[in-house]
Amino acid sequence: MSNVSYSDMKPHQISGGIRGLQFLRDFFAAQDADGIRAASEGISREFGSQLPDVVDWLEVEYDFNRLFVGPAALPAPPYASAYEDDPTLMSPRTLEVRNLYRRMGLATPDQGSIPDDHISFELDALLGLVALENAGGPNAPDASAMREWLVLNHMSQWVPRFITAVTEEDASAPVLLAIRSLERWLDAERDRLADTQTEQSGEEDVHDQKR
Amino acid sequence: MTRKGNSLSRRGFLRGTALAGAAAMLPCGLLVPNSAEAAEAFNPGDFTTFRNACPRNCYDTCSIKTYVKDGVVQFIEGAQESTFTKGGLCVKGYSYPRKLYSPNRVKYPMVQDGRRSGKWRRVSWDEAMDRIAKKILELKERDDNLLGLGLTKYSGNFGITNYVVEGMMSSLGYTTRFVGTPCWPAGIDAQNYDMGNMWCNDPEDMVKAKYIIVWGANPAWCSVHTMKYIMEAKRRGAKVVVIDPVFTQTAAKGDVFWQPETSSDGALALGMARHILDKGMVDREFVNTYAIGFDEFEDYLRNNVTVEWAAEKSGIPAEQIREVAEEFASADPATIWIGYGLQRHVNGGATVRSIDALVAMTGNVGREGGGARYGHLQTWGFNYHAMIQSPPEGSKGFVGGAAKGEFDFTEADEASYSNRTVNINKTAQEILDSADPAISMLWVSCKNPFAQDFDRPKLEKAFDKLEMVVSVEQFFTETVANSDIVLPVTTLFEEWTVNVSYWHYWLGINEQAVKPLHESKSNLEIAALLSKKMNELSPGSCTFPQEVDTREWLGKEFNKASTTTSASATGPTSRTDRSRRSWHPRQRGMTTSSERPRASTNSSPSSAPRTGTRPCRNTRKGARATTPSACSPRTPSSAFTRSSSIWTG
Repeated sequence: MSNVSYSDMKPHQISGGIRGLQFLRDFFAAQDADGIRAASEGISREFGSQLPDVVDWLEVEYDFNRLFVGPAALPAPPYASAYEDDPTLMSPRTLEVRNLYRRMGLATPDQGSIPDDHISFELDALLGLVALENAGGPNAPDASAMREWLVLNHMSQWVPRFITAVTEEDASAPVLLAIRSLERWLDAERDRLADTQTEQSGEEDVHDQKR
Repeated sequence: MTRKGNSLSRRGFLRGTALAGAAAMLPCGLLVPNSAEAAEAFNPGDFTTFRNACPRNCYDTCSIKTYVKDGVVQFIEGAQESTFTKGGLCVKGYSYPRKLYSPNRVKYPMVQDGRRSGKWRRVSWDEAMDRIAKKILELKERDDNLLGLGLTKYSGNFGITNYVVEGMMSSLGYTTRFVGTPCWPAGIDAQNYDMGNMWCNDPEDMVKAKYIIVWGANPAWCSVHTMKYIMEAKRRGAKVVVIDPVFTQTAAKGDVFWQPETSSDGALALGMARHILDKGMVDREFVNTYAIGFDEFEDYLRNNVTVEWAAEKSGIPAEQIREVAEEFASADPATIWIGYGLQRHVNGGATVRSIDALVAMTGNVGREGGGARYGHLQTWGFNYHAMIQSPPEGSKGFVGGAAKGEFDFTEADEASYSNRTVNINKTAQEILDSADPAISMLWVSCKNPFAQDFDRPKLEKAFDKLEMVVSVEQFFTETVANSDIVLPVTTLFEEWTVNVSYWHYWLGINEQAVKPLHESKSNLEIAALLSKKMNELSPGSCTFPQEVDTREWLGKEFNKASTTTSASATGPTSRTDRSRRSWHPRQRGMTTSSERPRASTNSSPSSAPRTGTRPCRNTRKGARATTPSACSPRTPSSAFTRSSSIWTG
């Protein structure tokens, strides 16, 4: 990975940068070909990966909907709760991120309609936490703890399975680019947090949790 | 490490699993770590409860109690308060929360670029309605009427407010409707003809039966709540005979199992009737007092039917036919449950009539614990406010009478134009044959024609003739795959409505328990949204109100509520007048308990209005009829007249 524009980021900052995370969020929240294209181009820039020269973005939209939206059964539903043993939405897994948003003073728009654990909401929350943490100040330690929880205790439980579900499909190049970027981001984030934990090895938390 | 000065505690996040983590460290070999959540005691106070009702086309139409916490349905159970549901649901019922929260629901309005292509695009509700409304207006412009717009809907959601789908169509103009029933028409006709009305005993009185024949029904699977009454009757000494070409779970629980040749059930019933006649076991008082045509029936049996003939046709030994016939005739009371499968043959109506005759000649019609039980529509006396809408002024339509479905309780239309009706059992052929104007656009709701209608290969061809197909669905069906637009519709937990059964006598309110998931909307809201768009594009082109409150509209299905029509209605005021006319007679019918509303089934061969109600008769055998259900023969039974010639020769 060569990311010139963010080469001066500190180690605890994220793979692909904050803007990369934003584009990932926008990618999975996209509603049409234009939205997918804008987000894909952003991901390509921020994560330093090339998109194919010619892309039929309408075909990508069909593929995107087949995987993540519907109306047919989804090979890779973008919700945390869809990856539990009993895949039903609005599960305790959903409510735990709702609780996180609440602690952040946030909520999903029209809470109760689109499940809170849609990946775009989770990436959005993460963006907020990263920003708070980077800003320093009195909220930074809390934001750091929340970020750690969100990545290690929540997203690590399902995002890898989501990534596998997509890669098992014959997905289009922009979708695969987004998924690979998401994977890189998650790996980097987990590596970073593992380092942090080694530093804090005297503390009693998180390491009990399965990854 | 508690962080002070802020709401956050990292331990707080982990609280629920902290104990489980520790438990995993213990050297236990058999005990497994318990989750903190499961260890919590159940406290009903933690939940808000809602009443729901199963909208399925099923005998049982269960009352459901839904437990909601954090705006999420946590679990459901059968309502204890309904003695029929009695606290239990079937497996399908219990799985409803999984349906509500399935990751595979249709979530957004979507447009397919090419039928069966799988190339779907997400659109806003506004864009979806814009496409639909423009197509409707295009058809109207092209044909000078709206008969090119077809509706096919059946029993996918029996919530009464879902009749708004028909209402929405009416509010657009005169359209083409797929009517009729793929389910139970031969039996309806038979029972209406024989009894004057298809009105079955309350299944709860089956416990009082001394002899039960379950004929072509499998309640152990298909009406699990009725099974408890059969088993209780059995415990009290009743004999249970199960007749079915298939050895069912119900058959396994019976005392006698007959496995007749398919479609030979009528012969079997007539053979039993002949033997009862020969043995002098006919209830003469009943047939002389309450029946017409028994002499002719007797002649028919003597001249055309023998037990041996019945045995030969059915494959059931004559000796057994005689034995069961005698037991049935001497039991007091005795009942037969007539399933729907045996009337789905060319001789289906005659089959049901033969069984009706068997029940009547033994004096078991109109008795508690007796009865020829088939089904009823007696509890369906709603206002049908959502359904009864008027077309915009100046609408043109079909000239000539229109047929109606068995769940269409509206009065005959006085307008000179009407909808064009086509046969619901010939969906594919009717689409292909339709002309002047051809059906060009189809609205599908509460139905999956590709799974449920005939001519599967032809259906694809027929759909390909259509210029636009709109499916309103919860899940991706084959019909959705063959559609251009799919609209996500609510489940029972996300809308207000009311449900009744065609079997038991309970009414189930259905409250909205949670917010609609994703972007789903109820059929009521969809109708309002379409009206808004229609009127935006062409003022006055749709009379349906543009804003609806589904709870308020549920209220309009009852009593006088329908007189207060929504102020947001933009159509001509004649709509109000018409609905007032329509509910009046029904409303009068509901004022006394003895005079129950009559559901008019146009499929009844005897179309003469049946008015007035006889008091329940005291049966000769001393059992006083105590429930309205036991009063079903309001007119003399004609079970014996016009016996079908199918059994002769």
